[in-house]
Amino acid sequence: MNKYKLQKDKLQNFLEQLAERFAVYAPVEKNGITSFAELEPGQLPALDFLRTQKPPKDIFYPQTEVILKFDEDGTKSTEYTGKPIAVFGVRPCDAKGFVIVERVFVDKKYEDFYWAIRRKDSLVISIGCNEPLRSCFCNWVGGGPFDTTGSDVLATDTGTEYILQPVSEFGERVMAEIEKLEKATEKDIDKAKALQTKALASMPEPPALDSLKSSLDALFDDPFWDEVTAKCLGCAACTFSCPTCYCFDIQDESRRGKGVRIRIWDTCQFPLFTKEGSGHNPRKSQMSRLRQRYMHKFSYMVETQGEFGCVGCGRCVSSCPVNIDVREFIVEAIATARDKGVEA
Amino acid sequence: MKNIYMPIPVRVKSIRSESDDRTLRTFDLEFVHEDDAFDYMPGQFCQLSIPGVGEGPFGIASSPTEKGFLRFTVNRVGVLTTALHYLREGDEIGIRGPLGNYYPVDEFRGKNVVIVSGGFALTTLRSLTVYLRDPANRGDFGDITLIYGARRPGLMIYRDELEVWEKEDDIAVYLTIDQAVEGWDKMVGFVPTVTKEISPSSKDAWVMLCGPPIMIKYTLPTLAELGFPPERIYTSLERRMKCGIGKCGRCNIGSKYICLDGPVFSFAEIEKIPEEI
Repeated sequence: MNKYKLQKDKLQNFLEQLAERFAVYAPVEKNGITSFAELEPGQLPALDFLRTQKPPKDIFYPQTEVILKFDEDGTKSTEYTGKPIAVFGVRPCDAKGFVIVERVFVDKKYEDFYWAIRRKDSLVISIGCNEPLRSCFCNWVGGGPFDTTGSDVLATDTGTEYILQPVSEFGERVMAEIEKLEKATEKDIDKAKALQTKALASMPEPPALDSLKSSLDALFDDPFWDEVTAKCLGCAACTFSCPTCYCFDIQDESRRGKGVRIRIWDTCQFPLFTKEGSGHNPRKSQMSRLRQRYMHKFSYMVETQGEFGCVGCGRCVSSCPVNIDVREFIVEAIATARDKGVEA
Repeated sequence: MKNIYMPIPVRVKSIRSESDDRTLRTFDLEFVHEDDAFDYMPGQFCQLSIPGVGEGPFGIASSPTEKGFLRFTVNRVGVLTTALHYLREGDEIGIRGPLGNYYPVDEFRGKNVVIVSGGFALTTLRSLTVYLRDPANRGDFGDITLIYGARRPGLMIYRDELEVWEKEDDIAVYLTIDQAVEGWDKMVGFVPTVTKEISPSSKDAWVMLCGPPIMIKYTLPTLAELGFPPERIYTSLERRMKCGIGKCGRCNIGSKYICLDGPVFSFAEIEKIPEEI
């Protein structure tokens, strides 16, 4: 596939061309919070940081969304009627996050209408990470600062320009249709490759996680969990900032014969999540709830998806008010299972 | 694109109170548009939806062999179930389904079936019993034994029907209550004890066991003593649920989703799941 070169001073023009056929989402800073939003005409994305505080999953899966409307004429579904969505400037970890969530929302049996309709004909242009943060650990979990999973085009920032490398045929087609986009030269490509190699080399060597799943399975009833979860406040900052957490609640609201059914991001960290009508709650303790989160990401999803349900973005590390670090947990779990000789 | 969250309109055909404390009501529903009617199997569930109030999962109590209605028995515990209890005949609500898997009828074809149940967990087992006893199916299965217990006679659901089945010779029905009361001439004692008294043979037999957790806990050892291996004991599990289709992420036990992989599981499968059921 052809590779392209985009001068940074031509970025606005590039995004405007995209905006002709796509609703373009990119990182923005609003009220001190960085997140993804649809760009206003003429607005440039905020690209001087690596990851947004809020994960980009809300582009395809809004945090709060009316899914059904009720009135005297019956029940109607809401429908996304905007242009196909293009995401610009997402990081490779988050692009992979889309893939992991999609495997849940679009499985063999059921397709989630609201996710699928926004994902239809969408384009993901990611920007690789030249200087991964200290909290980044994508290389622990099968990713990397220039991983292409989930991207249609991967961009490498060389300082003055982006080298655009189409990953999917769709990405290639869209890039080919952008006017005034230069072809990248061999020299440009070499420069990009050097940056990619340097970025990966700058990340500390990851531990081997081959035995992580079997260690966790073996430790399920071990007091180990009481220790690793003791300081957890159950605030759920980790799940709301996670690009692969997808759990939701459905609630109805109504007034005088009119009403709506709303879908809202929810979290396994809150006791109400599993509290049943009878009052019974199968996950009464915060230990059992944090254990659920970790087991889901590092054991259950290995069974259901064939890989960890974590992309190593590090948001849970940086957002935790009591400094729980999932990397320490991982290392601790493997070591505990080994020391106790329980690892399967 | 098909929207799996869109409820199908159904109308309340008939309602009756199922227990003397008025916590249980049984609803027969019919499709507003006949084309919407779906096939299902005993053990599957549906999401019942009252627009503006909410939606929740309920096991189907009717059998696919009973045409023209879908039956649900609802325990009044919260906002949605209370609103369901206030429904009147002719009211329209929404339904999504059928969801989940079903009792493994293909596995125990030609074999004996022991159904053990307590309280209002009889719902999907009523579906199974009616299905097995249907003239088109009855010849495909061996002996059918039904052991059913309730705290007292007034909490025994589908009682009229059970008393009819008691008189039939293609099913052995044992009804029990926790403590003796005047006018009760059937068995007395908890389900685990009564199961031991009856001691159904485990030879070529499968057990479907649904009831309160405490009943299940104490019945399992009895079944093991009788020689039923965990592979031949099935139950139907419950968890708080929202979507019913494996998306909302809350009804998992270990790596299994009750809504997708269940609700029907064998105890051989359950033993492999780390979390408590």
